[in-house]
Amino acid sequence: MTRVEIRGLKKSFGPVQALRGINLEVESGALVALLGPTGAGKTTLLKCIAGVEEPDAGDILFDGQSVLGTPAWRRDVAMFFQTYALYPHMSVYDNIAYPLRERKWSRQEIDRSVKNVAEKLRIAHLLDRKDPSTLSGGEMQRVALARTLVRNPRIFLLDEPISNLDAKLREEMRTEFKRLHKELKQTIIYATPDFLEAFAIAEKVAVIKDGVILQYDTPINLLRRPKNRFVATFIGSPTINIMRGVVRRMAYGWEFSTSSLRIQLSDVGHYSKLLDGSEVELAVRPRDIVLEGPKNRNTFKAKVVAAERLGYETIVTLSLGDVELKAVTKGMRSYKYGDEVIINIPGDRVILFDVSSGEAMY
Amino acid sequence: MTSQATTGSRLVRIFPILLILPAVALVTFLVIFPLIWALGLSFYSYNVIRGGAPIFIGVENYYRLLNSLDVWRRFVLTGQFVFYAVSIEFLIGFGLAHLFYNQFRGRRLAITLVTTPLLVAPVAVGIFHRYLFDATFGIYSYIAQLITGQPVKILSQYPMFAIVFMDVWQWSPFMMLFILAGLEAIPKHMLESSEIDRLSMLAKFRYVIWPTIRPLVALALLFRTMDAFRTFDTIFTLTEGGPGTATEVLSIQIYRIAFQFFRTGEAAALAFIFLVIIVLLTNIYLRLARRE
Amino acid sequence: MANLRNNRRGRRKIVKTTLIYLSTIIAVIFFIFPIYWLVATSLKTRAQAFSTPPLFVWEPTFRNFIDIFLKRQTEIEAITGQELELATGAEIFFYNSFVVTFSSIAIATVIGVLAAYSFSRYKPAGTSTLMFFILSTRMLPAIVVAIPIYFFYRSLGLYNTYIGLILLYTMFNLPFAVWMMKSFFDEVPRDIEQAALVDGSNPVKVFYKIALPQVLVGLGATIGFLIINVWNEFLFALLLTERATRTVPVMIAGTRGEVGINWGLIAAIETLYILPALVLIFLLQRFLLRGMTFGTVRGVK
Ligand SMILES: Nc1ncnc2c1ncn2[C@@H]1O[C@H](COP(=O)(O)OP(=O)(O)OP(=O)(O)O)[C@@H](O)[C@H]1O
Ligand SMILES: [Mg+2]
Repeated sequence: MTRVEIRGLKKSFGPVQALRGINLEVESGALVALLGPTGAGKTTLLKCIAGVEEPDAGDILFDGQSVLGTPAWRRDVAMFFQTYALYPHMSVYDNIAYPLRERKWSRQEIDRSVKNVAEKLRIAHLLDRKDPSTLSGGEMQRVALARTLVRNPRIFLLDEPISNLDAKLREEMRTEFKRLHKELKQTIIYATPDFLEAFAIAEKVAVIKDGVILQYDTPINLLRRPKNRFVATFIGSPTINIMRGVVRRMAYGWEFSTSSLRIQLSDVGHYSKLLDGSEVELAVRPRDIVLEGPKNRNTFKAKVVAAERLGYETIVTLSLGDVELKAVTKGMRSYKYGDEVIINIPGDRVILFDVSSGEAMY
Repeated sequence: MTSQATTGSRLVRIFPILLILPAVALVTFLVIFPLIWALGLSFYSYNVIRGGAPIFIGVENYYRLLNSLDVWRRFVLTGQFVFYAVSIEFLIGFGLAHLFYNQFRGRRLAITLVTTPLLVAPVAVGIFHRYLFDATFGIYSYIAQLITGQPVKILSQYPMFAIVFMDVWQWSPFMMLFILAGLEAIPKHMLESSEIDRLSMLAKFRYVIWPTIRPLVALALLFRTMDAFRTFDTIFTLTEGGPGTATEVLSIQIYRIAFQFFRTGEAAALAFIFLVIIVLLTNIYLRLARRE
Repeated sequence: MANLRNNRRGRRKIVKTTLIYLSTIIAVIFFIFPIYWLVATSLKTRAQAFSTPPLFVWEPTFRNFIDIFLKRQTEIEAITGQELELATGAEIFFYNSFVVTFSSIAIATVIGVLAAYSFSRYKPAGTSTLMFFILSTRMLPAIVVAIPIYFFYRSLGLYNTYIGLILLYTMFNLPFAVWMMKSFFDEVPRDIEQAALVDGSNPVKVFYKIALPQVLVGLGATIGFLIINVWNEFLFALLLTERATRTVPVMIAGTRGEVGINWGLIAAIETLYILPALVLIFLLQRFLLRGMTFGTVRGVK
């Protein structure tokens, strides 16, 4: 149970600025996901927290106390390394037992803990394997995970811990993490490039890109009220639809228009920063577009360009004058190229972004 | 807690330096310090046998050496030896590397056998080549006689040939190893695609092979050239610089001046000239290799 | 038609294979012959060694190998041009070589491995400069340092002592040990060591429990090359030793000039002398190129 605070953390590798001023607070006992594309700085941030990389500037506090002066081996955190980092010269058993031996646990305690965690991760049958480099990728990952979970540290740092498992095991592990978290009530920071994984596991998600945290929020807010264009496009599948146009103040409120369509925006109170006649980008999630719904102010005719039938739902690509949109509809629907459909774009579900800065305009 | 923390980070600070310290101390004591001392000595006239205090004579040693026809002759001699030896080694090494680039049964063993001379002690090489080259019972002389039909005294008639031959025997495999490593670094798909494009042998070499092996060839030539310049043990034990001064390369001449005639100041000066040449050569060499 | 082309291709392949084997055999003979002849001569009597034309078939004798150690002192002295202490044969030189090689390598390895690890992991300020300096000592001609060292040793009382020679050899092999071991440490993934730090090991433990075990093979190769370097060294041994500490290469180099020299006995001494290198070359094959290039280039497959 440790509260983690990160203040203005910076770290460069030569000319590469991996972290450019990270601020983050993780409540004691929270499970927070660190979500970002490759090269965002997730690993670097976790390594700084673990103490194996020394930040250039900023501070890291555990329960209000700076730990920058505490070397890694006394920080009492456990970290899962993205590269697994198994000790090649030790057996699977010795790998998992290593952190306990370094902490001078008794033989019986070590044996019990190792077997216990191996059981949980279903690698008990691998414990006797001498050469970890001969394990399969998924097996290595679970051994590394076992080595991380075998002890009870102040903080768990997990760097993409389940990316290499098959879909089924990954799903199980997600549940396992949630359960583990409930049981242990440990502070966990969990890095992943997969928003579904982040959403499934974490109560709060920090979106990181180019060494900066763009938004630190609950999954629902990230989805509904992204702070900028990047967060909006990075989260959600299929990717959010974006079109460029101009906003005008009308008698009834704001109207967004491109050369081929006009969308009336509701929720006037939101758009305090909007200027009449300015160019903006409008984003609408494919799942929010309604196909063949009742007519309203924002109903348009569109042509089907393509349709992907995914079983429970169908992703339809539509063309609307000069813009192309994706929409998702329930069930297996068969659309043909050129079919005409009626769509509703809900005026209260759209997000506007400033064209130059990409910031959302609420 | 805090005191623990500080000892920990102090360990992190000094641990790397602690690890390097012994190495730096030893190098300073046995290389840097002596070199500086020798540089100083090169400005003095000093003779151990004569004894007495060294007399400061400024650059006189350097002046005399650089104006001596004898010294220049040794430069030329050393240069010849290096040039002959290194170019022949390059050609043989190049051929061998292409031979061993083929996969065939016994290739591994053949490479091991061919590279054996590399690790044989130079002194043993020199002394034993005396036997091989011996005018009356040496087997090389015997073979030469079989070919030419008359007795050949290799060591006295063709001393330069003898030292070059010995160096080529010992060091050609060195070139071979480098060039072979270069060849093996050529991506297989590049060779295959050049096959498909039906490039001529020459074009294939020019555009596919040469660019990959060039850095390793450059490194091999650098190492070999510098080592050939310094050659001492083998030539010293084979010919002792003779007959006369026919094979007295620079390093042997320095040895003679320093330890047989005991003109220490002069020897130190010549050693420094030698050092400067080697440093210059290395630099020119690296620059050329980079420009290419 | 197709058959004919196949035939022609088949024939060309046979010609190529024949050429490859032929050239290989010639190459192997060229490079192995002097070593073979050395060993062969060591198994000849004095008269056989002097025969003209050279003898290719003879009845081998091991007499020379026995004589190296048992022959009366004066004869060894006459052959090698060395004065010996009382009642010893040539074994004293081997003993000296062994002591010097073993001690200096033990020291150079320990110091070198520590420094290499530090350079590889911590890259302290000035690492690249220092590494360049270390590399450039490889280019340094021994004769240049020999002059000052000789007078230092004379005045410091290190002349003709084991410790003097050991120190010197340690120093001369240190750059090699550092450079080579650095190249092996560079290959150990950093994450493994960082994982150990997080798992609670301090840097000292990480070094010997995690990093060192990863480079054991490389360490073996490095030690192999160090052995050969020291065992083969001649110039400093010649300058800095006298009868009490004289090593094998100096003794061998002393076998010069005399007419009627017993080449069989010399060959036997040389054979014994180069034996360690011959054994090591078979063990070190995989690392040969790395050792020769100061660890900068990987081996040949
Ligand atoms: N040791 C290092 N030396 C040099 N650059 C580094 C080092 N470690 C990280 N970087 C750089 O820092 C940036 C952030 O890297 P980091 O590994 O933290 O990204 P990441 O978010 O973990 O990416 P991924 O999802 O691919 O693992 C990258 O541009 C990377 O190239
Ligand atoms: Mg990463």
